[in-house]
Amino acid sequence: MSPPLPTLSATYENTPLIPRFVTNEQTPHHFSHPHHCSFIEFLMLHVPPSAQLGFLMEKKGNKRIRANVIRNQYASTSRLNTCDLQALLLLHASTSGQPTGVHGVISGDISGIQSFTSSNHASTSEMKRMIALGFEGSANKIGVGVVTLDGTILSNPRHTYITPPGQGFLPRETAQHHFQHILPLIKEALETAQITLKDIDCLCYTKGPGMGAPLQVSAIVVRVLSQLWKIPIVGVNHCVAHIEMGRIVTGADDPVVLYVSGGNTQVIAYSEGRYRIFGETIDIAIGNCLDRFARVLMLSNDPSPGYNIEQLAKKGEKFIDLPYVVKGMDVSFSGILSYIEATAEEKLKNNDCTPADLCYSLQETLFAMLVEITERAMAHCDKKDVLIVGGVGCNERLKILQHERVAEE
Amino acid sequence: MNSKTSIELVYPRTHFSGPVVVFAVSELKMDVATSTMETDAQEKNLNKWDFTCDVEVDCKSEENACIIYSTLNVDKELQPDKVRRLMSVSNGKLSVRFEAVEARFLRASFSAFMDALTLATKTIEQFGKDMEL
Repeated sequence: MSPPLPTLSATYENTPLIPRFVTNEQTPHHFSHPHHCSFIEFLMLHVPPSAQLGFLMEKKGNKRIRANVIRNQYASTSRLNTCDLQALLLLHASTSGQPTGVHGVISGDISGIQSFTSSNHASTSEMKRMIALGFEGSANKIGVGVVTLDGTILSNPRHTYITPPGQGFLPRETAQHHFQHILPLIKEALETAQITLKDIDCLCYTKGPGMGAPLQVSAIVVRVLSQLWKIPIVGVNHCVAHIEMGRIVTGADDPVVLYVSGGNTQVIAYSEGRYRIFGETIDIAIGNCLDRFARVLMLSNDPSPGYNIEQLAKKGEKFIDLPYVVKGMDVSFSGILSYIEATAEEKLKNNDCTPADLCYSLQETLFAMLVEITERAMAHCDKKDVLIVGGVGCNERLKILQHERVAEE
Repeated sequence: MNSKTSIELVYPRTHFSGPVVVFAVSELKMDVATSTMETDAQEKNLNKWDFTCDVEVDCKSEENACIIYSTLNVDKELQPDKVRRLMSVSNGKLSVRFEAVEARFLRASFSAFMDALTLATKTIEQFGKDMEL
């Protein structure tokens, strides 16, 4: 049975606490598909009305619509600015009956948009907290997490594929690792969170970018579970997930984001309605650079090569000059890696320095470059906060350097 | 069903002179039956898709078969100009046909598919109707 269609009402002078459908269509004819209705109803029932203004409906071609849950930033002050709305959730619903989508933040000018008040908004007063079961397997770590809509993490078991020293992880072997661990991890996640499958409202998984074969593992499991349990799938962009996760855990509202991991190095800020990349690496990622240098030194990959470099760097005393490659707002690491790989072999042979000195020098050089471009992005966007996300973000030295620079401002 | 089954791949002799490759699929709690098609590559030079393999998986129910079909049908073959995969469901059985231009592509594609199939099957076994939590 399809839920009642939303009925037309006046625009923004109503209280923002009532969930409303907003659409840029004159008539809501694309609501007619039963699947769309149930999916929108599902969203409406589970998003607290205090946190939302409504759903921005956008028609994508003839077959697809996009539903954005719009967060009302000004719920407390009742001030509404139609040009400055942030959509928290972006979902693609396809007419094939299988919902797919991306989780992200968008915003845009919705002035001049017709709005619809839900005809059954009374039911939204009784809120059930929405619970998502999330899957991540884009690199050498496989994880299953249970998270509520307000960001409470109920469980987050994970398992990492650790390769022998001197070796990186390859797609096929990594996928095999994920095959072995994903199903026990689901059970562990549900048990730790003390929930049953009846409590789960949606399945999320890393849609990409990442390594193909490992990504496919969580995609397959999510597709099967979605059909078995009859709940929708939300595909999540890896990069956006990093940022949103950082924002929800730290409570940072609108920071400059330094996204540093094994696959990405970017300085991102939310500006003019979307996340924009202000600076990035023009070749390899910083984590890739550190990991590959760890292989040269034959450091252990347990728990991660970056962690072992950090520990060794603490014992470093002598600073070795390395190339410092900042090109405008972009950075480059491959040349530094080639240089230090060649230098390391020569200097270690002649006992000119220790592996600790090399790790120390490499870290200091790379992080100084990142801090420089982050600072420039902060000045450009006039923002005061920096959020460091990604695997390299757990490096204490990077945190200290970044903190010192932000404190100076 | 707990029967151990095996899948045999027989490649045309002109291209493959080693022993017959046998994949043991002991983890699968499903009946796997295969039939192989032998073609003489020299005689059929015009036909590009010389290397084929047919797999039939008994999923025990139409529902399971459909779940596995729609799960695995999403991911396309990585090299569509070298390997083709055709899938269909009938009577609770999933039929898959691989066609490739070279034996190594057939083997790689088949191997990757069996991994995915095993994972989908195990997921249904552990989280399907009889799930205990």
